[in-house]
Amino acid sequence: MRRDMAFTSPGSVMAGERLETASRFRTRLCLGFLLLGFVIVGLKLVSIQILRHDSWVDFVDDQRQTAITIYPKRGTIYDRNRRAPLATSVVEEVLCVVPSRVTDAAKLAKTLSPYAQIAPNKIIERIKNTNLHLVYLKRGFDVKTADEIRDLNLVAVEFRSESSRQYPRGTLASNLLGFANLENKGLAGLEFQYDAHLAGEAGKQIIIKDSSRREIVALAQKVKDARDGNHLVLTIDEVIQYITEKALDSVVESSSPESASAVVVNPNTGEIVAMACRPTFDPSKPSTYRDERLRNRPIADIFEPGSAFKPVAAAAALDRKVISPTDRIYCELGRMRYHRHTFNDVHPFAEISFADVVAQSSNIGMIKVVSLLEPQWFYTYIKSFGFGALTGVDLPGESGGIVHPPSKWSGLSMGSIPIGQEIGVTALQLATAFSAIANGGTLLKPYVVSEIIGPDAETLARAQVRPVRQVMRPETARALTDMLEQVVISGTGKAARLKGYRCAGKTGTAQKPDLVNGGYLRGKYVAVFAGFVPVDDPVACIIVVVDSPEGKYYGGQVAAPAFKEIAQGILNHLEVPPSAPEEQVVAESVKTSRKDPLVAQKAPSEALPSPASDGVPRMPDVRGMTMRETMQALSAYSVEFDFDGSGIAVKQHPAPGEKIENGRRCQVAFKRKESP
Amino acid sequence: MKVYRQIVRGFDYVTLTCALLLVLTGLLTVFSSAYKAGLGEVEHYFSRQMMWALLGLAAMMVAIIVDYRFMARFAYYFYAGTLALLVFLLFTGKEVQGAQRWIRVMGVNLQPSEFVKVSTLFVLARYLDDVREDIRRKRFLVLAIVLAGVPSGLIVLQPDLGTGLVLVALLGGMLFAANANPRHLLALVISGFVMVPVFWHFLKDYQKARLLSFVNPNVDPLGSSYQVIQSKIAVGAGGLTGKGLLAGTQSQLNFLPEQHTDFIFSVFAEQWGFLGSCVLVALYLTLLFQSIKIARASRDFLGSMLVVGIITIMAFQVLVNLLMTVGLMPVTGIPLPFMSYGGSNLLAVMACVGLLLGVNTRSHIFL
Repeated sequence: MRRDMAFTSPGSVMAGERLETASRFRTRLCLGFLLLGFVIVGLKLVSIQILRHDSWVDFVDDQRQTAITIYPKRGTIYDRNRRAPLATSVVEEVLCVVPSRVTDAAKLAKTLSPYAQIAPNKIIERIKNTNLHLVYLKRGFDVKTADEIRDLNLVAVEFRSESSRQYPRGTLASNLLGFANLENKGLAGLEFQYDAHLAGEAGKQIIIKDSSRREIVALAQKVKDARDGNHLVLTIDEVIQYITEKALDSVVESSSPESASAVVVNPNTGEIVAMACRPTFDPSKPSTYRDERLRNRPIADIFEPGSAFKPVAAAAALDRKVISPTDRIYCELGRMRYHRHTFNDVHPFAEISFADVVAQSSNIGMIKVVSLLEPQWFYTYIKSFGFGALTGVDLPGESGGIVHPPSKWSGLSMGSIPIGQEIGVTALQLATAFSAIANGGTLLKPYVVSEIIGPDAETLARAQVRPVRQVMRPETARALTDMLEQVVISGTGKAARLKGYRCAGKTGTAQKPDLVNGGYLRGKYVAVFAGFVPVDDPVACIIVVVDSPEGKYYGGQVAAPAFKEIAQGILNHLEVPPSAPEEQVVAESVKTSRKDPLVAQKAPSEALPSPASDGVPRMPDVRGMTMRETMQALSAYSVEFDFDGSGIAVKQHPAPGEKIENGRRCQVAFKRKESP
Repeated sequence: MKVYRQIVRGFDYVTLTCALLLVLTGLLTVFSSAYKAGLGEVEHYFSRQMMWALLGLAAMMVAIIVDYRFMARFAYYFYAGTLALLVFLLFTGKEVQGAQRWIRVMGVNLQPSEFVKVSTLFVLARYLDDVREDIRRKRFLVLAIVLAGVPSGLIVLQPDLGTGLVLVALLGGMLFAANANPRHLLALVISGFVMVPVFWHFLKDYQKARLLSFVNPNVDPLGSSYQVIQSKIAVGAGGLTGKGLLAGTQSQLNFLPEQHTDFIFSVFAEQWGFLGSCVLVALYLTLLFQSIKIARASRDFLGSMLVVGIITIMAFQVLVNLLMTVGLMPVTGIPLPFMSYGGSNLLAVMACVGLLLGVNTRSHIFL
């Protein structure tokens, strides 16, 4: 073959030519393949780079950009004096580890251990056993400590900042304040109610990340700035709130109730100055408590007010002018049949004034007075006082209570409702109702936030006094106030009496309704005291509700002392000058007692044992009584007494509420009051 | 001195320019891949690539100056040496990503399979030059197959399927150009296809996964198809004109794995776009067309065979790599000549260019 010959002569010029001609076809085939391949590549490039370019760009943005929420600083909640905040937010740093960047886990764990306060082996465990890009190792670092760790230049360590809610006063007012979660969302209480204001607006930042999720700081861009939340100024006075909670604590200590609530309202404005309840919770770790501890009981819990409701009935009667305080009522000597039901008085009375009916808390007298009213009239007053409806307070979870319309009343209702049965109220409703009595008859809408201020301290909104309606004529309110003062001076509420200040109030002791089986629970009472101080120019309307106390259970025994403690604290704190020296008050009380022989005959204190309850006489609380009053109180029992000292009774044995057998010796110690 | 003058006279400056431009583009792209926007630093492998490029330049000059016919005399020794390296590697090689491909010499990682390409090229060229027309006889054909098959098999065992396939392509291209019996070649291709199911059995799991994910890339977007998807994203994001130097987020933010080696074209395409890609492809095409010219102009069979082999290796690698990068072929791990990071590869490619130029020069002179 020619080709063979050509190849056997290497070095000949012909060889190249031969090769060329011989393999022209093959060369072209190769060229064709080569071109085809590159054309395919080119076409694909056109498709990817030009035709579908946009979708790939989206793809790129998706995987390198991460939108990061910039958390705004949640607004602060201040008390009325804008002193130290009740709730505040601090920026906290979270220590994070990027597991993919960890080279020496043991060394890293050892370094971080003292900061995170986690054992090194635990840290290693958490870094190793994860498929997360970022492990949140420990929350709650302040900026300074975080910077300290940053200075160590650990490649695998990153920080995330978050706004953490803090409650510097601990459990103080926690049920009122509620709490917010780590995501800056208010979940309960004021934090929930005003979340829109407090939360602020989150900002957004686009962060460029590389494939191992490292942030490229230089390429970050802020899309939207965060707007910090607004601050709240409350009507709450931190000191009065503290005083109130202290008083509840001592109630809890002495009578271990199932729960206890207290509300302090400024009767002239409707401002809620203090609102507290027990049991309570720590708002910094709400998840560790059961829901019932989180509830804001003063507005959420409904109870039968018992005798504490009598002023409402009395107001209706007085305002309708069916009776005057001095009108006398025969009280059936403590037992009265009414619609096939027997109503009892704790102490039997014959004929006493309407004022005494209220002061001595006679059920029979009250029922008789209210029977002078049309049911519809009575109902109108109840509703007018705000019962059976939301007060409209700016707090979540309020209950409206229970008030049935007359169409649903039974024949017994006109007997039950005047003495606070068949009706459910909240402590706040009682507070607004008593405030109306205190301020001359105007029902005010209660509120707890007085001002909303913006991040730069500019006022955005200011609460105003909101009169709801005139409940009664001012004269009615005045007359009623006088009657309620008598409760404290000579009636069932003596334990609430204050040195040097005139004070008005009403006790209440209600059996607890059995919500499961109907009727009432045996031995379970709600002790209430509602009142205001000082009488001539009230600064505070105070409600104390003690649910199911152990031992003593009368409102005058359990709730009244707490009322007194709170009232005294408020008067001292607000530096309200005493209106009357102590002696005058005592003298007045003695005078009243003398003027009204019936009162003197019947022991003046609701503290006297109820023969109806279990038939066993119980030791009354004589503390705070004069020697004469003590003798009167104890004369109802066949006991020998043993007095020591002189002045006011300060100590007694047996303790109040203890059973006393006939012939038992009672020891009472007296002490003369230090003159002011 | 005479030699130098002769070299200069018939010199193919077009090929040289193309090659040098490709090397420079490659260095720039490796640099942009090594530059990490997140860290603001350049990874160390860029400076190593620089060093290799200089070494490659030296190798190129040596390959131009030293007569390929002289070099072909030692083809079998060279071949045996590199085979020995491969065998040695199978037992002691440094394992990277499940494969033993590197050998460490004086602190430098060498990839013997790249040198095996060159030695097999030489040995096949020498063999085909020796047997000439006899290649149409089965006996000689089988021997040629064995010559390429042994290193190919050893490389596949590493396992490095891609380079193994390059040797198969090299054999095919050279046999084709050496005028082997077309029926034999067809039989070889058919038996190759028949072997596929058997071959499938011997594939490693990751190789199977790659092939499967090529069929349907969305099966496992964060697993075996991840590379291809990220590569397409990078190429696609480049658009018509590209994002500009160092502005490629896919590569600079490290989303693209193996970006400086097998997927270097994605890095390039993201930064320079469709137009840049066209220029790059044009450079490769020019180089290849020039090479074909050289092959046809070579005055001896050995030179032709050498150049044909080089064309085959380069064309195969460029095409397969580009097709793989744009998602038209399964990921096989074949580097892009001149561009991909990898010293041995660059060295071998530049030496090949030197051979090309050497063959070209000597076709114009009588020695």
